[in-house]
Amino acid sequence: MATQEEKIERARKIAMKKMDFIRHFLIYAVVMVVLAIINNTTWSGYQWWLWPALGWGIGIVAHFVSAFIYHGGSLEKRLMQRELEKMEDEE
Amino acid sequence: MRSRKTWVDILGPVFGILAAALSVYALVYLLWIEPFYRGDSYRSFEGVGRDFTAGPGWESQEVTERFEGSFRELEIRNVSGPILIEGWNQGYVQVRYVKQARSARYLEEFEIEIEPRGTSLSIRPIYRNIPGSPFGSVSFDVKVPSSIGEIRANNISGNISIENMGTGVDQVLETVSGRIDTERSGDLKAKSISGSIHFASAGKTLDINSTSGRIQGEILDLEPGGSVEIDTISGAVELEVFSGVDADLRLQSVSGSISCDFPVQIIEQKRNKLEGTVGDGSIPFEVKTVSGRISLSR
Repeated sequence: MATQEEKIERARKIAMKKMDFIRHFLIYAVVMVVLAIINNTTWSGYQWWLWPALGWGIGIVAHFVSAFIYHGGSLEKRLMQRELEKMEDEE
Repeated sequence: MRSRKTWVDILGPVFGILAAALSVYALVYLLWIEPFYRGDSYRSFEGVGRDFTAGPGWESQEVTERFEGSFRELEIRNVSGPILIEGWNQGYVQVRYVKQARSARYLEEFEIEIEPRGTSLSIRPIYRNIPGSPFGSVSFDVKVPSSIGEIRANNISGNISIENMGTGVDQVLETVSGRIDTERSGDLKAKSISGSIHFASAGKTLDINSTSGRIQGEILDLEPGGSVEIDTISGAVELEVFSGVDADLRLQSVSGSISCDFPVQIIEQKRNKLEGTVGDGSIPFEVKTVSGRISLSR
């Protein structure tokens, strides 16, 4: 059972992750808009800016998942518990 | 009590969905709609007119036209793509070109103008919407009678190759980025900003200029009253010259060695400079390079 302090620390981490994701996405969006403008003002044919949009976009999606969907589930908790038990057995 | 959702909780998933949607769109565009095969197709396209196969993802249009007439001069311009001009023993000019662009619509954005003007034939691509228009390349393979008097070829990005010509064909060849290669010429003026120059000439004047690239050539003959002027900024100059040359020799390299197989009556000689006469010294023969060696052999 998690203590109140642990809960607060965990909540703080999740909130920080969410804010980090928002900042990360805004930087991504600004850079992609700039690249798209450069692409289309100098060369109206091939949309090369989609290459960085794709590569970085995959990173953004992964960041979103870790910030909003998966915060560390039951498997993580079980593994932590097992490590603690091991340490206690060794002592 | 459950707290209200903050703007971060609302915007976060929206941004996540936007990033995922953009990534999926980019993936579809790059792999299905506009596959990124330009590198491969351009390499095969660079085969100086030998391989006209467009790579996947490119549209191409191949056209062959025949022009009757006693043309004395051929003038050809290109922006991107190789130019190959071959001499043959037929009495007409055959122009074969391949246009390449990313789509059929882009292919229509430029056309090839071939215009006979009296005894000269002019060939050039015309782009409708430059700047900012979709990119298109043209590969030219032109066959002309070996007896044609003059060839003028100008390219921006691409090689220029001249094959199977007589020694009486004067040539003016210029490219910004690409190799110049002429098997045989009369008077020759060749200029390349970035690219090597290979030549064999037997005319009266020889004027070769390269900014970055090796110059390698054979001088088969030099008519009296002619001149030789060769200079490059960065690159070696290797020349094979016929034995009976009468040259007023001035060879200079800022940071390279000089070697000369001819017996020279020396006026001035240093490690990187040689001035003197060969034979009766009647023909000015100047070679200059900033970075690279100069070699004159028989």
